[in-house]
Amino acid sequence: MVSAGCRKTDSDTIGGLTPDQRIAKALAAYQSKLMGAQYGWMFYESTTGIAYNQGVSQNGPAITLAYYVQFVDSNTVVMFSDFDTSMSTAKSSSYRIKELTRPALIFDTYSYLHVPCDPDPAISKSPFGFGYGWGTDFEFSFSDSTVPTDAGDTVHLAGNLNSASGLLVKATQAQRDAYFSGTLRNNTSALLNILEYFKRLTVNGVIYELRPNADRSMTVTWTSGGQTQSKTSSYYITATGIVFTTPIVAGGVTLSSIDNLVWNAGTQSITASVGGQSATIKGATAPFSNDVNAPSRWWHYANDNGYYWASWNGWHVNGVDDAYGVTNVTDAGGPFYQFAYIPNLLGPQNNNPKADAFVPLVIENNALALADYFTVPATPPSFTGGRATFTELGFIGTIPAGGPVDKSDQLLYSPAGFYLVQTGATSYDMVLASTARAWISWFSPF
Amino acid sequence: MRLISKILSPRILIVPCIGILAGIISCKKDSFTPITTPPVGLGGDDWKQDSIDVFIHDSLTVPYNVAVYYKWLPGQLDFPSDITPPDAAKVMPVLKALLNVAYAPYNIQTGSSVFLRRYLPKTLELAGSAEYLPNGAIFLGQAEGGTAMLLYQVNYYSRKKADSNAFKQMMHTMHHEFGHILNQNVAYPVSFKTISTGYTGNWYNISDADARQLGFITSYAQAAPDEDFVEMVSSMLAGGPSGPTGGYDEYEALLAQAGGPSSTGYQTIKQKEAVVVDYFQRVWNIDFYALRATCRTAFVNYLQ
Repeated sequence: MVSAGCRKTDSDTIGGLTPDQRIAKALAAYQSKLMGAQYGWMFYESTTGIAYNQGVSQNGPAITLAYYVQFVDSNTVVMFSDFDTSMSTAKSSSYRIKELTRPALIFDTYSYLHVPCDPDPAISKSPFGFGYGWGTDFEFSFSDSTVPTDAGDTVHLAGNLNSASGLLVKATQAQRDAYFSGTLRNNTSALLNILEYFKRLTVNGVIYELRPNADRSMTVTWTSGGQTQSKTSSYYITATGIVFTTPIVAGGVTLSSIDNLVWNAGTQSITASVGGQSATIKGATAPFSNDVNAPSRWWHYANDNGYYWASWNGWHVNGVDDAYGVTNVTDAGGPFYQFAYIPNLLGPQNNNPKADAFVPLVIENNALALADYFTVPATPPSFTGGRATFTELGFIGTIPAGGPVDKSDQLLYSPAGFYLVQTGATSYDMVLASTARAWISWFSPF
Repeated sequence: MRLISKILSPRILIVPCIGILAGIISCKKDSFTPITTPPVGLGGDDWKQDSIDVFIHDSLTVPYNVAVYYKWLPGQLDFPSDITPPDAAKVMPVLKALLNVAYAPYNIQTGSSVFLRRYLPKTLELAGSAEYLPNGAIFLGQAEGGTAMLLYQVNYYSRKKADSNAFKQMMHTMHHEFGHILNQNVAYPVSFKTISTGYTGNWYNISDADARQLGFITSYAQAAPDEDFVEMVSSMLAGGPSGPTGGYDEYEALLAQAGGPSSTGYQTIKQKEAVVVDYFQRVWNIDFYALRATCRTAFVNYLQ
């Protein structure tokens, strides 16, 4: 046994190469693969809906982002991203191909790819919370089981921290040219041109309501046989158009993407094409089908559970987020944190009449506190006509006239009232019923 | 063999027997191919050198023997944390600010770059974001064993006067970490640890203003005596957070929040100040008040 075990009939090498030589060869092959795409790559990154930090995971929306990337030399990459309208211009950063447990592609200085990974929610706008991005990655392992030279026009990647999956697909010259000519900007900002909350897509005489959500998904609503139906899919935006990650099957029609978007300022509408057919997208002042019980459901959810509704930015008006500048309020007891609607904050226990509060929350001595001044609406609001309508009962402190809080309050007391659109299990958008050009996005912090 | 078996236990006996047999047979090799290329990654990574790399070499590696890591290196920072690498465009401005505002005053006070060349940690790591902890706190910097210093939030750097808070925070972090490095070389007097009681792991639940009334210059100073000492150093050299203006303020303004000169908080902090000044004089032969004046001038002159 001893002598048999020591007889060597094979060698450590495969094809005459040692492991180190094979690793070096694989790294060089991946490098030339990435740089060999003449017109660069489309890069699609999809998350699992889980984000990790310090070994602790958080759940949130699963999203897909679309990038155009070109590896211009051994360490430089140029990219575009659909994550934000500001990422439609080419940005250069560095990358490296390195041997980790597996050969890895690392974007090693800050780029558009890192913004959705940023642990600072003020930068990433991530709903996963403090310390988490959207569950995307910037350090990937090559995950194809074939050698790079056999991989063809696609390369698969797996994120090392969050396990996001990446797919590189060789771009065409037309795709490359579209990105460098600014078409991405046109597409990421197309829907923002429509100032109304409700956006209606008409294809072949059929009307669909489009609602882009804060979690990077799109809800499509339509009627079929007198019934209102809706489906939600995450979506991404390329230089070609808006693409649903999961095609929406609406009745007999499948909506996979909305292409060739062109904003027409004269008619305040977008022309586009869907599945080869011409289409239009226009604003509307009322929902396709109003959820008449939503206002009551919204108020009772917070009231009955002792919760409150919170908003990061206050009112969005005429296309402008935080139109009144509430996030810059500094004279209310501390730096602004959130705008809140708190049902029954005031009650008999404080020798006050029962009342709600529409109040900025501020940070005071490292703790959350009510602002020094705020308005007090009567409780509960009116829910008639499928809208929430608020009436002022009084106020606390001295609200600076004409200031951000004063302007926010005046909008709340609009006599037309508000539609409540449920956007998630514990989130609602409250939309001004008269014009649909002003709204506030509420979420429950609990 | 028989003789050996009588002396050694059977278990030990087996080992040399097999060793001898295996040695005889398996060491016979027909051919041997020497490896001419080193294993992949041995000796560090290589990349296309650009102006940032040249600047680091000329301004930090040659004069101070410091290596700067700014490109993301998997596993180099706390793993597995969601941390992002620096924006390349911020790297040189941050390093220049460090050289001019944090390092130069030491050279001026000691008369040469010998002190920094000897004690500056040989590795400086940069991260773009902070490191977020599950308890809601964030790391702004770390110092390890006198050899490495890690500076977070490089992407937040700005030289503008309006953003001086972020700049002061960065300088505060640098002086804090360098204070640790100095302590890791020569410890501060043990008596410092008994000036205050009430050190707590829950320091992040205490506001800076409250901590000052308890005799700690910042809430983080209340975490442990080591942190207390270097928070004193950094707050005196670069100011401290959550002062009367709500942002970073000078040491005197922070001290005023502790209470009047007769209050316990004020007197406790003053006691700590005396130990810090004495430590720098005795151990490092540096006049701390003069160093502080130089730091302030350097900072004010650097703002745009």
